[in-house]
Amino acid sequence: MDHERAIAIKAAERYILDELSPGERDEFEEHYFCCEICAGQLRETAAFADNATAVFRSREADPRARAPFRAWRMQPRWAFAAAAAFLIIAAAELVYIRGLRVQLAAVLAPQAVLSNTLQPMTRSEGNRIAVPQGSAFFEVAIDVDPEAQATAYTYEIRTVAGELVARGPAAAPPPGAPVNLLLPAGLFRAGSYALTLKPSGSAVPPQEFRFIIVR
Amino acid sequence: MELHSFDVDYVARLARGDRPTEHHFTVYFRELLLLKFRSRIRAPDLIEDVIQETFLRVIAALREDGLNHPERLGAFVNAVSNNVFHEHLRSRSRSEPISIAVEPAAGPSIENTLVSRERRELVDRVLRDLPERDYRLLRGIFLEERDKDAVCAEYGVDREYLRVLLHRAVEKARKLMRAQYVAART
Repeated sequence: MDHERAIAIKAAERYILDELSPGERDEFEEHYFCCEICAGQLRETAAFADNATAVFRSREADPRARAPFRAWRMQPRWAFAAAAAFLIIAAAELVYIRGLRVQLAAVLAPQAVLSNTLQPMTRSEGNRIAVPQGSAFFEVAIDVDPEAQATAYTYEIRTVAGELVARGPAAAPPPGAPVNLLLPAGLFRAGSYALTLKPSGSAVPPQEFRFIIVR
Repeated sequence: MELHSFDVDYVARLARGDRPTEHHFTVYFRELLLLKFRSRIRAPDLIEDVIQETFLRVIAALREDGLNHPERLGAFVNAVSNNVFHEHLRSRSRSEPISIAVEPAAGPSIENTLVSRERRELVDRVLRDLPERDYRLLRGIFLEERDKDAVCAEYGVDREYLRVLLHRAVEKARKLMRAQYVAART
């Protein structure tokens, strides 16, 4: 065995790992007894292996001397289980996120929205709002009291049982224009609801409306 | 040990009993012979016998006949050691039913000749820096002495990965040793 071949086949490592055939072992021995470079490589590799064994033994004997990461080191089967669980969760997340993206795309896409002008309670038994199947939103238009002269409004929607469904600010519309609320259809089950529109900076009392969602 | 060329002058000094040359010769080849025979002979006293007998025969041959190719002194030592080993093997097998190749170790391990506190600390640093998988891989090989194919399969690597891992770890230990050597001299 010449020097180039000894290097190419990692003969020193193979020798220490007992991977050489008897013939290769004899050839490498003949070489390293003449080649001080390979002899040095073999000596260092053997020294590393022997000292590594000594280090492993001492760590086994003294748990305090063990490597820092040993405390959380997993058995391979648990590591596999953890990896599998992670993959399952990641796959579920992927499906969930993909679903969200589909929903978001549907929301962001141009769409026709049903607009419903709410009549005051005093003028109607209730407003019936039919939300078509598959609609993401529906709109309610509220004619505001022209005497309010509010700079802004806050709205609040509750079920007839008093459960809060939605609440938020609404900008004051130009004179004569209604306040338009775009409401997510998903928040409303079929049933009756009460909407209160409260003007800010005005002595005019809040306006109240009733509506019924029909699906 | 520093590199040393084996030439006519070296062989001549060895043949005439030059003490420094003899010292270098025995220290250098003793390590190589230990590495060679520790996988074949488990009994430390027998390894020592083979080494001493090899040295005696080599020096006797040099004094009596010289060496035609001094640069091949290493090959000559290796060849003589093979003869000595096979002679011991034959003599033991005639007198003892158990082959010396599988005889259990007695006394201090021959591996301890390469173990020192300084080297252990260096190797310890190298091992601590290894990724989890590599650490366990080497532990399975060197401490547990498990089947190498089984250990490699357990960690999803092949035998070449193991060789490269060992090679790089040795290189890193060597660099650390050099750095320590330089730091000690400055």
